[in-house]
Amino acid sequence: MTKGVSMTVHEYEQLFKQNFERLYYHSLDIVHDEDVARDVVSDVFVNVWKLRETIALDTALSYLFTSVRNRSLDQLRHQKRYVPLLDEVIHELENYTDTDREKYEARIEALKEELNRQPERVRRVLYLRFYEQKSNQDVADMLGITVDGVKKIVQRSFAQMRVSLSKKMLKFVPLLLLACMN
Amino acid sequence: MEQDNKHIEGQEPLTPLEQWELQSAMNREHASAPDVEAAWHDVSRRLDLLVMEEEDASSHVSQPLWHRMVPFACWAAGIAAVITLIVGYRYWSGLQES
Repeated sequence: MTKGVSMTVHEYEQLFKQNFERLYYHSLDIVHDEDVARDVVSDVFVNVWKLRETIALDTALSYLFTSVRNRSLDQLRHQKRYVPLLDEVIHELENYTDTDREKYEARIEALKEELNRQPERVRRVLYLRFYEQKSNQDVADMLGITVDGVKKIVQRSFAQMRVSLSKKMLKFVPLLLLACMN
Repeated sequence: MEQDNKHIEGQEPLTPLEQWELQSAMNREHASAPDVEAAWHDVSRRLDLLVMEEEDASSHVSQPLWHRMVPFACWAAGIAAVITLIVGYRYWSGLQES
C-alpha cells in the first residue's frame, strides 16, 4: 500500500469496469464457484473504496489481485470438497508474485486452447473427471469404458498437453521478462 | 482424485497443481461471463450506503458539544420563561388584591 492522491469516483469506476472480469476469473480459478468469485471481487472493490486515501491508483491493480487471491484462498479453505488438493495448491498460490500470476494466466489460456484441440471423446472424459469432479469409476460407468481406460485417456492427453504447453510457454518468456523489467 | 491418477505404467500422474489448472481452464471455458454493469450497479449501491454512513459519522464527530446543547438550552429557557411569567402574574395579582 502506498500513500497517494485520493482516487476520484470516475477513476474508481474505470478501475472497476476495466478489471472486474480479470479479477473475477482470477478468483474463479481458485474458488471454482461463480457466485463466490463475484462476491469476493465485489467485496474487495468495496474495501478499496474504503482505503482510497491510502492506495495510489498505479498500485491499486496489484493490491486488487493480491486481495482477491487472499480472500479466494480463505473461501477455498472453507470448501471441504477441495480438501485432497488443498494444501499443495494453497501453498503454491499463496506464494504467487505478479509475474507468477501472469505466467499462470497464460498457462490457463494455453490449456484452454489445448483442451479444445482434443478429440470429443477425450474432452468428454476430462470434462466429467475434472469439471464435474466424478471419480474414474463413475466416468467409466457413464461412458461404458474401463477404469483403466479412463486413467489412460486422462494421463495420455495430459502428457500431450504438457509437451504443447511447455512449447507455448517458451514463447511467453520474452513477454514475462519485459513485464518483470517494467 | 490423486489416488485415481496412480498405477498407470509409463505415464506420469498429474500433479495436484496440474489437476487444479485443468479444473481452472474448464471453469473458464464453462463459466458464464460476468455481467460487469450489474456488478458495478451492486457495488455502487453499497458505496452509496457507505458514503451516507461516513457522512453521518463525520457530521456527529465534527459537531462541537455546545452545538448539540443548543436545542436543550432553548427548551430550558422557554420553560423558565413560562414559569417566570406564571409566578410573576400571580405575584402581580396578589399585589393588586391587597
